[in-house]
Amino acid sequence: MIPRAVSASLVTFEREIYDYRKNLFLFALRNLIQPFFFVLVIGIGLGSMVSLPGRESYLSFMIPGILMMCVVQVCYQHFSSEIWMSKNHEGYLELLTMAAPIKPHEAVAGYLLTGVVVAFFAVLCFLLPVWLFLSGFHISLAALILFTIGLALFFTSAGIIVGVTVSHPHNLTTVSLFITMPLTYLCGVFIPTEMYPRAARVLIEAIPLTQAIEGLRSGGVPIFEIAYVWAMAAIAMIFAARCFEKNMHL
Amino acid sequence: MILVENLVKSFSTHKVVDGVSFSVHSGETLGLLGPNGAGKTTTIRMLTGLVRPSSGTIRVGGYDVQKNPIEAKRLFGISPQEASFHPHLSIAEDLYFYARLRGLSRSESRLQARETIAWAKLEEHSAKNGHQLSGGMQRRLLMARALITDPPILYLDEPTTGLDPQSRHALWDYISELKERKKTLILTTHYMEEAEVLCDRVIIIDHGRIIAQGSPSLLRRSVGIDSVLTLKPRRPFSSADLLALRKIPGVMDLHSSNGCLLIHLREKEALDEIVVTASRLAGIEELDLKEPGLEDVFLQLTGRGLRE
Repeated sequence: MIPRAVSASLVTFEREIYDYRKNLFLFALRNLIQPFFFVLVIGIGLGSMVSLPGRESYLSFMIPGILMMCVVQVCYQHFSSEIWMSKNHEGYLELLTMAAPIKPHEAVAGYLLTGVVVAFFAVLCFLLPVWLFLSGFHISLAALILFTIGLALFFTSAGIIVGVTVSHPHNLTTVSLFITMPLTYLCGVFIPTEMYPRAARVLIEAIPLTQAIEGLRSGGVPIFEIAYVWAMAAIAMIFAARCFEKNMHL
Repeated sequence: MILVENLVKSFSTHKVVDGVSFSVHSGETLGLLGPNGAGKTTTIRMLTGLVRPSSGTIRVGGYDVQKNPIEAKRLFGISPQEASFHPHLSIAEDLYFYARLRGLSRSESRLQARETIAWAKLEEHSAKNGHQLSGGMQRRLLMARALITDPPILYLDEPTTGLDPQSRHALWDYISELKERKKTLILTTHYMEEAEVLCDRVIIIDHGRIIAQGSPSLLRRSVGIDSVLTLKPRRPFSSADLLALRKIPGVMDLHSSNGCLLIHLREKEALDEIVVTASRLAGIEELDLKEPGLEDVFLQLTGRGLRE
């Protein structure tokens, strides 16, 4: 017999995944489009003119960053927009909170589980062609799995927080831009973080995405970076559950 | 079945619901009646647990809605005011997941979704999204969804608002069927005739307070109106004309509405004198005498119409 709370979370997960599965091809395309252009224009194009001291190739340097950016994009974008729409436009989220015997943190747990699954799907969408066409690319699978889970939980939580707290559609777009844009260009996807001034580096390295990218690049299973990402994910999940509860009960 | 005591809800300094208390018995249909902004929907949202009361308690089937929300929620379904459907799911899928969230197994949920669609007579639309349906169909679907696990209590928040008369009457048939099935219903509306036809008891709310409650017939009797005369004058009545009409023995009150004059009569004997006087003062284009309705009760109690 599954406890009611677990069952409630699993039903939320089942519904979200069902919706995702219905549009799988579109989601796969969406997951691939940005990384494809990053690889083509920056990795292959610009990368042919760039050499980083002590690194194999610019493309190999970039791929761990793009992999982790896939997780950020899919988790943050998907959940912030879906939850915002359900809450502010469709009123569906409110209906569920009103009528379903489900507690807010159980719904959040269902979203988080969905976030982990869609993050792995996004990573696979990108990684399969990389493995097929980029010979000699190596990555620690254990580290990839652990970082993907940690970042998915962190950025799904961020999506939930933004989705339930922002009310105006323009603000949603602006907040999203101010979250994803700095992450893309500051967290070491395209250039090593050592190139930033010391004060900026402290801030940049506090972002879990930076730790995940650097951890993946190290090649092994970096315990400190993994623990840091998971700890930040735990804090974000607690915050997301509280935000969800507060904003769904007036 | 439902017990509400001293319910208060304030948003900053504004009291939207102010000390509301009532109870609803098993199988009873209670109407919450009031103009827009009276506090009906906020009361319903507190009953469901979505809005936390500033003070007061709500018990549903013996469970405190704030302390035992899960147990309380199993006992009721809600048909909300807004047509809220999942943005990407079909009606059948939407109902299936709704049933799943309410604790049914996969096979039970599929079966209930099918039966619910059949009850709402929406079989040929089951692959559509709820937002693609007409207003009347959406309201039927919302009511059907509220019933998917056959809860004993149903909250119907303005179930016929925005519908044409034909769709409204069709929906009344559905609500009447629920009454026959001995469901406990709380219905909010600002349509008087709806409350008269469907409700066993009515609570009239204005500015967040209960101003009257009882059966529709009791409420009509309680304000002492025998009948309501509607006069359409040829020329507008002056203030002096209105004063003269008001002085006629048997006249309780006068209200202007859409170019007509509504005269609440304590006794019909005053009718002849009113007609003679009104003809002399402004002429009469049309005349209608009817039994008082809840609209007249509200007018008498607050001095304004429900939809003003």
